[in-house]
Amino acid sequence: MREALRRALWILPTIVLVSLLAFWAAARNSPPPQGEEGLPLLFNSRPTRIETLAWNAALSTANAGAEAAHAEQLLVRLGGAALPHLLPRLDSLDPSERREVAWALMPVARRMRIREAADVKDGPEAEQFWISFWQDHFVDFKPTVTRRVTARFATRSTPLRREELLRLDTYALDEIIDQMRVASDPAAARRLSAAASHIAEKPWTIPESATPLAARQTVELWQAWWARHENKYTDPAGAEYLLAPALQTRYALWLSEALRTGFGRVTTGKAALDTLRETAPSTVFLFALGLLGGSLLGVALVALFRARKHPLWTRAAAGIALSWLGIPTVLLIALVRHPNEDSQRFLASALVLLSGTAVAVLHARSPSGRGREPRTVRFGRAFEHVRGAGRRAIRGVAANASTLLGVVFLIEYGFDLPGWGRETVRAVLQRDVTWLVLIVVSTAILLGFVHILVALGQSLFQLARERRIRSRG
Amino acid sequence: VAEKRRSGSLLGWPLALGAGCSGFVVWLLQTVTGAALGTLEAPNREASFGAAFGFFLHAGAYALPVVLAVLFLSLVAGAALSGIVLFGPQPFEAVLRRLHELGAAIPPLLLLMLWRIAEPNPSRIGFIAALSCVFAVEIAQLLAETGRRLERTYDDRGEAVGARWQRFLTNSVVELRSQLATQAALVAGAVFALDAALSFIGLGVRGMPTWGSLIGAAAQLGNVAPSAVVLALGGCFATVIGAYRLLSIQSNDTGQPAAGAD
Repeated sequence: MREALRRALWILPTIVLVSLLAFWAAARNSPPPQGEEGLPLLFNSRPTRIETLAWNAALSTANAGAEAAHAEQLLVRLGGAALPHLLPRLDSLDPSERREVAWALMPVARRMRIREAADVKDGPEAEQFWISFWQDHFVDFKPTVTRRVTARFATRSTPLRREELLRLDTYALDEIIDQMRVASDPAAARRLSAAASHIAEKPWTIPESATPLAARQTVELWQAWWARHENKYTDPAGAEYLLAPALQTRYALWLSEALRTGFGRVTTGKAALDTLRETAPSTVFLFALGLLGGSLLGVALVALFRARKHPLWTRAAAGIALSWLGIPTVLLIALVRHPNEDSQRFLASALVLLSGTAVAVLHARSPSGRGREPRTVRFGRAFEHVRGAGRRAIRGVAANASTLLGVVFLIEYGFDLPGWGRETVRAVLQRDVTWLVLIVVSTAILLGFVHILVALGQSLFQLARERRIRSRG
Repeated sequence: VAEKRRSGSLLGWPLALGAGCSGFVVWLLQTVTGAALGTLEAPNREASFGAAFGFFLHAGAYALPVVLAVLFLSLVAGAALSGIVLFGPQPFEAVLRRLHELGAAIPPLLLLMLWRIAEPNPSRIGFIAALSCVFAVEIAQLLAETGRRLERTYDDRGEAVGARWQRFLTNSVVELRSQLATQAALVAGAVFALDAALSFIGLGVRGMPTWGSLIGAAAQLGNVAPSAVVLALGGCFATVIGAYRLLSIQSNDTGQPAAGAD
């Protein structure tokens, strides 16, 4: 029972590890999606902090070097979110550098729709403008104020409320997109999307005539965008700060997107979970046939040969089983492939069943444990008890379950059966990250389930055996 | 039994060594003579037996080093890992067990597919490395379990009759050898099968003919060329039966009664 419990507890870490492996393999050579450029796959040794990002951009702007133009663009993009980190530290720069940075920030002021910004003509005026702006508004750049301002705007849009919100610029994006997600009033979502569109300079707004579905899609678009860009506008705090090396990765972004959208779609355009559900019956049937049918048939054969007494029978059975396992499945597929679909199903089932049987026969014949080594040739001794042979067969087949599942995948592909195997080969050839991670996780769960069941069966068998011995005295 | 053992050794070891060396011999011949075996095409429906046989030999020069490399690396790494587990700190055993379970959570074919797409340029080295890692963990787990069992046996029986641990261990090495031979046979078969499967799917290493890719190429044709089938089946059977024969000898060498005694 302890083994079953251990396996059950181990299944979650296994899923995490195999999904990491699958994502690494599938995404390693794929170009990163838009917005994920420069992000590492699984571990970010230098997670982004807006404070560092903004200050480095300001220094590059002040130095007027080769990167100045790019740094100015970055400062404008960071916008209001960078102000709490920049404006209080402006004094630490030289006057000329201060003026350069202040002037570079003026497009942000214009985006904030601050009237006085139109009157600013040069660097010194820009410096004065930002100093006075920060003196007047530094209290607004707080999470509680932002939440209140955004909520007021979402409830009812007035010019003053709009002005208040736009003045916070990108600092309010987090709150805007969060409130957009939970907004039950379509008008609120429309207002918030318009504000976000202005601040982030994206065209994703909800028109008045939009259907609920279109509105929902726009909100999801904002959420997806925010998931990719959040780390450029907000500083992680608490647990997020500690986990930033893991969270600011392509895997974390993919995972959050996958959980939000139910694993999204595979490259064929179908919903990933639907594809998984549709193709599961074929794979699970073949796998179960190999596992259970193979074990039963293997034990039956073992019992039959045992009844013949002569060890030649059992030797022959093991020899045939070993030879069968030595023939690559691909060759078997090529030999028995048939154009008729029904025949293909039958032949695929037969191949899987025979593979399971071969494994079962090989394992059933040899005792293991209790100080005895498995012997390849000592077949005759192994069949003392059919029950023991059955137990060994099931344990052996379960130990080879992953190989058997691989055989099922290959057979499904070879016979063109609509199962996980065929889909996985397609996904591999098309580098479909979503399907590959999903299938690796699914196989880990399926195989984990098999191992748990076998461990549970073994412990129950052991308990029954002990009880029987006790009752006999 | 002694006679049988001797004849078994006479048959089994040359068979194994011959199989191991034939690839190198073909490769050597090809390199020295500059023979144009590399220009032979994969078998097709019209391929003659001779052409297919030439390809088979040529592929053998690539396949056998791959199999031997995987065997060597996985055995060495597996033995080293099991040594660390048996003689190292306790947590290593748990780590190896978790690794083994992790390996069992993904079908090897799927693992290889992932490995193949993770490689920028699929190569023979990557294939060898991936398979060696997978099989090394399996072998290490097997050896570690056997080692622990031997320890328990010694504690139960060996110590009581005054046997020395070193002597006990030396005697048990023969049993370990038998297990390693079993595992080696399975690994060799698995390498061919997985190579063939990858070629069949279209993820084989391009420009590198192996026995697996030969089978894969033949399978892609729909109706397999008869000569290819004969050669592929013959090769598979020879490998398996050779390994089987070798195992029989190994098991008899352990001093256990021969199978006929049952």
